[in-house]
Order: sequence, then C-alpha cells, then structure tokens
Amino acid sequence: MLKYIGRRTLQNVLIFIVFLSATFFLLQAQPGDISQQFLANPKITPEVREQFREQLGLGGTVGEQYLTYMGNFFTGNLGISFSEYPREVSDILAERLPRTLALFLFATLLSFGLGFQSGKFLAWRRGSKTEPVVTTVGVFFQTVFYPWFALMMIWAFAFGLGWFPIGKFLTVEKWLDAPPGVEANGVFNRMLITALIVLVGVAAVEVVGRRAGDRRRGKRITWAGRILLVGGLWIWWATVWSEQAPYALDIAWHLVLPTVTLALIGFGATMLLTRASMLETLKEDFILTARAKGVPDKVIRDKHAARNALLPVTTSLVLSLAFLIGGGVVTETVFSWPGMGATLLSAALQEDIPLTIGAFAFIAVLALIAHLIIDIVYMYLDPRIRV
Amino acid sequence: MTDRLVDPDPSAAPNMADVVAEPLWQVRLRLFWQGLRSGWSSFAESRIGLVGLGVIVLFGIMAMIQPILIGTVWEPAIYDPVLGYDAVVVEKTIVPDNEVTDPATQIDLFSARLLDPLLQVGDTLVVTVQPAPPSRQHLLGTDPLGRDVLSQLMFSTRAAFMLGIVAALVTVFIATTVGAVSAFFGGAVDTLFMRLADLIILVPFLPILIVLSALIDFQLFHLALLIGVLGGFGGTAIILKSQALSVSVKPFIDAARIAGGGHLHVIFRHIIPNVLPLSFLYMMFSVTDAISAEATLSFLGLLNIDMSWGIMIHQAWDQGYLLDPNRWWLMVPAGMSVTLLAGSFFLVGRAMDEIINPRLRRR
Amino acid sequence: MNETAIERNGGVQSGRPILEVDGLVMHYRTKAGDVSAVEEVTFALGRGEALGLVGESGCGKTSVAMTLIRLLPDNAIIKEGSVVLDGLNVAELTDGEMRKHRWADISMVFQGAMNAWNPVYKVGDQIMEALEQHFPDMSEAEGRVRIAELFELVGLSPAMMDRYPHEFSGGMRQRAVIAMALSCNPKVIIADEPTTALDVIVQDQILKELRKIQEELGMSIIYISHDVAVIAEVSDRIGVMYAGRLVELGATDEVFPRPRHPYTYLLLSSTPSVVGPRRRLAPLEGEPPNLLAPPTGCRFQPRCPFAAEICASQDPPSQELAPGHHVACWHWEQVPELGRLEA
Ligand SMILES: Nc1ncnc2c1ncn2[C@@H]1O[C@H](COP(=O)(O)OP(=O)(O)OP(=O)(O)O)[C@@H](O)[C@H]1O
Ligand SMILES: [Mg+2]
Repeated sequence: MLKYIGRRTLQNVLIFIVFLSATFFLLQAQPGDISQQFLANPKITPEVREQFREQLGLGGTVGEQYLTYMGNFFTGNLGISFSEYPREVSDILAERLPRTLALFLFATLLSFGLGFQSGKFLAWRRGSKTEPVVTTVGVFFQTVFYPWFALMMIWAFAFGLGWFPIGKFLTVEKWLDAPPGVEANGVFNRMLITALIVLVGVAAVEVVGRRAGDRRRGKRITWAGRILLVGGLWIWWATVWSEQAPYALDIAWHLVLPTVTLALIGFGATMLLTRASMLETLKEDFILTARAKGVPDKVIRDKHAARNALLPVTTSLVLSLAFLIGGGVVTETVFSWPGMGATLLSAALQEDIPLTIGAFAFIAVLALIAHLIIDIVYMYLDPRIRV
Repeated sequence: MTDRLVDPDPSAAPNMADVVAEPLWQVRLRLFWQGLRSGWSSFAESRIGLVGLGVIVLFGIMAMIQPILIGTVWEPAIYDPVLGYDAVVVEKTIVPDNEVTDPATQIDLFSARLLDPLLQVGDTLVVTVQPAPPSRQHLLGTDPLGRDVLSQLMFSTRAAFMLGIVAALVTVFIATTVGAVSAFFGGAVDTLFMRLADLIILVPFLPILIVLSALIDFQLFHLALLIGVLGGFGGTAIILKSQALSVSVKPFIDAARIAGGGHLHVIFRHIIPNVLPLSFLYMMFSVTDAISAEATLSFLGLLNIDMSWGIMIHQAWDQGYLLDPNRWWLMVPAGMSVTLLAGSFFLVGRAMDEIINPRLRRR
Repeated sequence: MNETAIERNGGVQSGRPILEVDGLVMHYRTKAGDVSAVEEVTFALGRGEALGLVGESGCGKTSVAMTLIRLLPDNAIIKEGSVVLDGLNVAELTDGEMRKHRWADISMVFQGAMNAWNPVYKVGDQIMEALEQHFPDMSEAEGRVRIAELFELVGLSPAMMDRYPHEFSGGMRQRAVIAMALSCNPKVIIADEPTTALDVIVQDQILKELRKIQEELGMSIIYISHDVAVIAEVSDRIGVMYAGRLVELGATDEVFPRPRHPYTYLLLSSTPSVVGPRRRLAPLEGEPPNLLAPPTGCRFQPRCPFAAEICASQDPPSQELAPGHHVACWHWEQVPELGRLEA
C-alpha cells in the first residue's frame, strides 16, 4: 500500500516536472523575454528589470535558463509579480491558496455527496416516469453554460432574494472596526483548519470504530468520537477564538453561494453516473444473495448496492477533477472570490507572466494532489486492488 | 446465399448475373444505408435524442438564415452583428424625482435636466436608448452599443457550429488513430500514448487555456485546434483504444493479417471502421466540450474575436447589466443558446450511446 | 439438528413433509406476453430427503426454486397454488414476514454462486451478516466460532473467513457459499446448479460433501441441475421438468432404470450411462418450446416420438403409476426400457 502511494507520488512529481518544462518552453517561444513586460509601469525601473533578468538567469544559454527556472521553482522562488509590484508571487499565492482550497474542498464534497445520494435513491425507485425528468435535470447541470449559470445564481439568490451577499470575500463595513488581532487571512485559515480537523477526525473515528472488533461497540465509539470532535471544536471557537467567531461567520456567509454553485455543476454528472452504476449493480448476483439472506431492503441498498456503485463513481471523479477546477476559476471570477483561479485569470489578462505561471503551477499541484487522494480513497474502497 | 442478401422475394429477385455485376461500392452503399436506417429507428425511440436533434437543426437554420436576412430584410448598417448601430428613440414623459413607475415611458426630472436644464414635469423628451428593449425592429432588443441582439445571436451560432465541428473532427481523427494504432501495435507505442493521455486528463483544461491565451494571440480557429488536440490525445483516446483493442482480438483481424494485409491496411480497413461508431459518438461529446470551452473563454475575455455568445454575456456583465432584471435580453438569450446547443449535442450523444453501447441498452 | 431421527425408507419418509408444493402456477409478465415458466407443479419434500430437479435449460427449474424462497423479480406473478413450508404458507406471507423465514428456514445456493459474494466485504463478514439477521442475540465472537465450524464442515480453513472473495478460487467460493447456506440451520436448502462452473473433480468432491453434510445434519435439500448424472448421484427422488411442467416424479432407483415419460427416456438415453449397463446414446432432437406461446395439449408433443392426436388436443393429467411415482403422459405404457428404442 505504502509502496503504491510512493509510486503514485513519484509519478505525479514527474508529471509536474513535465508541466513546468512545457510552460518553460512556451515562454521561450515568446518574442523578447518576460522582463520586457509592463514597460509602462513607472514603479518597475530598469534596475528592477535587470535584477529580474539576473534572477531568472536570462543571460545564459537555454539549458542554463531551464536549470535556473526549475531550481527557482523548487526552492520556492517564484519571482516578483509585475501587476502587484513589488509583492512576491509566493506571498500572493500563499494568501490565495487556502481560499481556493476551501471552495474546492467544500464544493467537491457537497456535489459528490448530493449527487451520490440522489443517484442512489433514483436508482432504487426506478420509476420509468421520473426517468425523463431526472435525465433532463442531470443533463442540464452537466451542460449548462457555467458562467451564465453562476450569474443567474447571484441574480436569484443574492440580488433577488437577498439571502446571500453579492460576491466578494467579506463585508468591508463589518471589518472596519475589527479588533486588532482579527485579520481576514488569519480568521480564514483558522476556519479552514477547523474544517480539515473535522474531516480527518470523522474519517479517523470511523476507521477506529470499524477496527473495534465488536460491531455494537464500534458504533458507540464512532458516535462518541464524532460528538467529542464537534463539541470540542465548538467550545474552542466559543472560548479561545471567540473574538474571531463573528467575523468567521461573515466569511462563511460569503462562501455559501459560490460553493453551492460550483457543487451544482458536478452534481448532475455524479447523479446520472451513480444512477446508472447503481442500476447495473442491482442486477448482480450478490444482491440476490443478500435478499435471500433476509437482509432488509435498506441495508441492501446502502451496504451492498450503493457501496459497489461507489467504485466507478469514484473513478470518474478523477475525470471530473479538471472540469471542477475550470469551474472553480469561473466561480472565483464571477463571485469575486479572491482565490487562485481569479488570480490566475487576472494575471493572465494583465500578462503578468510570473504570477500566471506561479498560479498555474499551484493549480496543477492542487490537481495532482487531489488526484492522489482520490487514488488512495479508491484503494481503500476496493479490496481487489489493495495490495 | 448471395441472393438471400438482396431480396427474399424470388419473383422480384434479380438473377445471379445482375447481382455479381453490381459494383462493390453499390453493395457497400446499400449496406451502409441499411445500417443507417436501423440505427435511425433505434435512435428515434429515444425521446431525449430526438429533442436534442431538433434543437440542433433549429440552431442550424438560425445560423444559415442570418446572412440571408442581412442581404435582404436587414439593413447591414443597422443589423451587422459587430459594426451595426441603431439609435432607438423613445419618447418619455418627465415626472417628478422618485415617482418613476414605468422606466420604459417615464424619466425623472433630475435625469431629464441633465440633458436639458429647461425641461419641466409633464414635458415629453425624446431620448435614444441603448440597450433598447425588444421591439418590432429588434426582436431581442439591442445591446449597450446599439447593435441588434438577435442578429448577434444568429451570427454567433454559425461560429459555435464551426468551432464545435472543427474541434470534434480533430479530436475524433486523432483519438481514433491513436486508439487504433496503440491497440494494434501495443507495447511501447501503446504505453507512450496512454501515459500521454493520463497526463492530459490531469491537466486542468481551462487554466491551461488561460495561460496560453496570456502567451498567444488566440483566434477561434486556434482554439478549435487546441481543444481538438487536447481532447484527441486525452480521455477520448483511452476510450477508443479499449474499443479498438476489443476489435483487434477478433478472428477477422487475424484472418486479414494472415491474408497478407499490411499494418496500415489492417488498421484502416478493419480496425478503424469498427471503432468508427464509437468515435462518432464521442464526436458529439467533443462538440459539447468545445462549445462550452469557447463560450467560457470569451466570457472571461481571453479570446481575440469579435462576436460570440460568450462575448455577448461578457459585455453585458462587464458593463454592469447583470443585476438589472429589466435588461434580461442582454444575458438570457445568449446564455440559453450556449446551454441549449451544448446540451443538445450531449443529449444526442447519450441517445447514441444507448444504441452503440450494448451494455447500457435496456432489455 | 432439530430433527435427529430421520426415517428413511427407500427415499420415501413417513410423517408430514417439510415442504409441500401444490398446483403451483407462476408466470412472468413481459412486453411480448406472459411467459408460463411454472405450470401446475405439485410435489412434496420429506424431512431429510434429497430431491433432484432435472430438465433442459429454460424449463423453469430456477423459477420453481425462486418461487419457493419467494425471491421473484417484479414482473413475476404467482397465479395459483400453494407452497407450504413446515406448516406455513409461503405464498401468503408479506415481504417482511418472508424475510424472517428466508435463510433461517429455507436457504439457497444460487446458480452461478461464483458471483454470489459482494466483492468489497470479507467472506466471513458476509456470513456474519446472515447470522446477525436471524440470531440477533449472538455475539460477534460466537458468530466467528460458528463460521469457523461451518468452514471446517465444508473443507475450508477457518482462517479464510478474513479474506476477500477475490482471494478464493472458484471451488473455494462455492464451498463458502455452501457454508453460508448452512449457517442458520435451515430446514430446507435449495442448491441450484451448485457445481456447474467447476471442473469435474472439484464438482464431485463438493457434491459428495454436500450429500454427507445433508445426511449428517438431517436437512432436506432440493438439487437442481440439467445434468442427470449429478442428480442421480445425490438425490433420493427425482423430478423431471419440461417447459414449466413437472412431467415425471419418482424415487431415483425407480425412475432411472425404468423411465415412464418419453422425455425422461430421451433425456436419460442422451446421457452417458448413469446406472446400469452401457447403452447407445440417442440424441434428443429439437428445441424446448417458447414459453410465451407453449404448444397446446402436451407441451412435449412436438418432439415426442409417441405423439398421437390426443396429445395435441388434451393436456395429459398426472397419474400415480406406483406409490410415489407420478407421470404426466397419455402413452406412458409405450415407453420402453432404457436402451431398447430403435431408430
Ligand atoms: N425475469 C424474467 N422475465 C421473463 N421471463 C423470464 C424471466 N426469468 C426467466 N424467464 C423465462 O422463464 C423460463 C424459465 O426460466 P428459468 O430460469 O426458470 O429456467 P431454468 O430451468 O433455470 O434454466 P437454466 O438451466 O438455464 O438455468 C425461461 O423461458 C426464461 O426465458
Ligand atoms: Mg436456472
């Protein structure tokens, strides 16, 4: 198992190097060099440009330039942004990364959970009357022109109904008189850490419960663990981080609509696929065996059919990853959510090459890591490929 | 045996000589036609597939009549999707500030006095409106630059079709060839292409296009090629390869090889024709992807083109008309068009999938 | 285990049978019309008895079995008849009630049991699931002991219970399926082609073991197979099915040497020697009828060498020729002894 993960990680690192090299050669193919960008910006003086050329080794041969480029990248030296001069690219990205991570994580979980559950129920009560409706809804979410859909969501839920703010990361007026220790990135990182603790904690508690030996005791352990985890974090926020809590809520309120919107585009495909996969699984012999054993229908649906239908759906998540990342860029742009995707886009529009490449590389890393995680989850789910 | 193929009715059956004399291409054509007919009758069973096809045909008609309309009923100076301009003039009554009940026919005093300080409440004022609401001359209104929205919409349809079809053809051409070649040769060739496909699947598609658009000046045709190439070497190649693999182990392939068919002969005459139905199916999905990708990129302002559905939405959004429900014609028709056309190709693909993929075929 | 004393008398037992099937008619609704898969099937299964059901593919053997355990697809309808399991009419139970009796009273080894295992759970856990369902008070540790016993009974190492199905060979999977069928001490086991997918040696081993276990535990069993040799080896009585009907039913040692139904006769002659002397193999020609539109009168009549006018017009009733030997044929007297039919 560890060997497998190791091999996959290595593969992913190699893929990443190929990516980076490809971008390097694309840059090489450009007329002039990237230090020639933003000639009109008075802040970027010729000295700065010279310094920049030095840093990138632009004087040397192509081979030397390539080595400097790769070396710089792996030592975390991504250069200076032109459009947000004089900020370091790595500094900008470090600020934006958690925001994208949160959006992406919640949206993926939500769309997967929602799509899987509804696909499961639809397959279970396979009425042919609902079929066209289900297909239409699924296909709509799968093929709707996403930017337009996102705009319509804002229009309906933020502008029309007023349930959510119209984009942005936080409500500026509310933050003006924030106490000195409270600062947006700090609050947001705390939120993200909390979410990650909950996720990892719930999974860990689940595994411990499974390993408990006795089923009933396992169940008790699982529940106790969940309650302890959530209760503990709640108390922590209520006491230690009580100053940050109302501001965290403000950010969370801004996060809801973009998350739901992004989740909805993945939802259709997951639902349709789960339904098809579940219908296929229901024809398997082991479902008949389970019925013959006298297992209740609900258990057959969840424990036998859905559990097996989950496998192809998980595999397809790899394919929809690229799709979701693209959706993430659009979501961030439309909702003015200042994450990696919006950064990438605005950098590209302003031809701020260092920032574009940096943001792109980090998005690629994100995709590769997500891919690796899905691989590991799949391995956990399917004993046939566990080694 | 031969005459069985032709006609079961002996009285109408042509004699043996006629059958033999019939050139091969005619037999082929007839068999193809028969296959098409039976395929069509299965396809016609799928309601969603028919709906999809209907919508595609509708858009096709829209795309074709726009140039005709421009040449006949529509004055090019007004209706040209990019360069046209029409100042729609409306008479509005001036009402006291904050008492405007119907913005289409009334204007408040403050705004009116910005145009002419001598105006009074109750006067009428002739104003040009841009964007103008739907009217007889402009069925879907005009955009913020005074151009006809319907004409833009129809003009963009043609671009969408062209882009989608070029991208899909490139995708399918590459994917079919790659799939057949790696299934036929296996070994290193196979490994190379399949690893490449894995890599491309992992690439976040939109970010790559964004990066490229920062580096290159993107035209529609480049985009179509790029989408086609990325799609063709990516996921579609993997799917078509597995199909080609299941074909290439069939006995007739061995027979063709033993009969002395060269590699190319076997690949192009035997393997590819058997993969083609599936290729055709994936073409539909490629069209969907290409249309959405183009619209998204234009929406983000990354494409150097004059007019497309994505650009129409981009302009409306850019100029702040998003949140104005009274200006629905700026966003709704274009957004619906992208969704409908992309969705229709997808539906047709799904319907074909049910015919071609026997595993999914029900009962 | 409950029934320790089994009286066996040439395959026919005294006392009330454990399972009584009376006039069972079951159809499948399809778009093309009704498929009459089970037509007027009547038989009884004694306590501790092994009954074999034979017939060509598609003659309705599985359909009978599924009706007994009430695991029919949605389009199946039981039109007539009753199935009484130990005094309980199975056909009248609600789904919820039936669930409690399945496995605990009547269990099944499915046709193609190779795929009977859910690939994502350990084999032991899947047997445990049945135990949990029917013995809620049993602790996990007791359950494991029970599974270990069962594994030993069917010739598997108890350590295998913590393995996944894909780690088992086909024969091992089959043995484990039998262990699972035995897990709740059912009164009746239905074994639908339990060994078809296995090679002959393994098939033989498993059949012998199954027979041994069944005799030791005093369970009743219904074997289903299209292979007459298998049935001959393991069953006390044999029922021959043709196109949804039970055409002949009797003690194995009566039917085999002296079949009374032409179909049985042809089926036996087309099989290499089962019992008795070597004889010529006569091929069984033609195909079983389409059950969507079965032939009128006797369903075997289109393929029958003895067919006469009455066969096409009237359905032959089931007659009891000797105690326990039933035949549905107008011309049973004409059926010769095995190996005597010429041309
Ligand atoms: N769900 C169903 N719907 C419609 N017809 C069915 C269904 N299941 C079985 N049948 C039909 O019922 C008849 C009996 O099928 P059954 O499976 O009982 O045969 P069998 O004797 O078990 O055959 P085999 O030896 O091949 O397993 C067949 O003609 C079959 O086509
Ligand atoms: Mg069967």
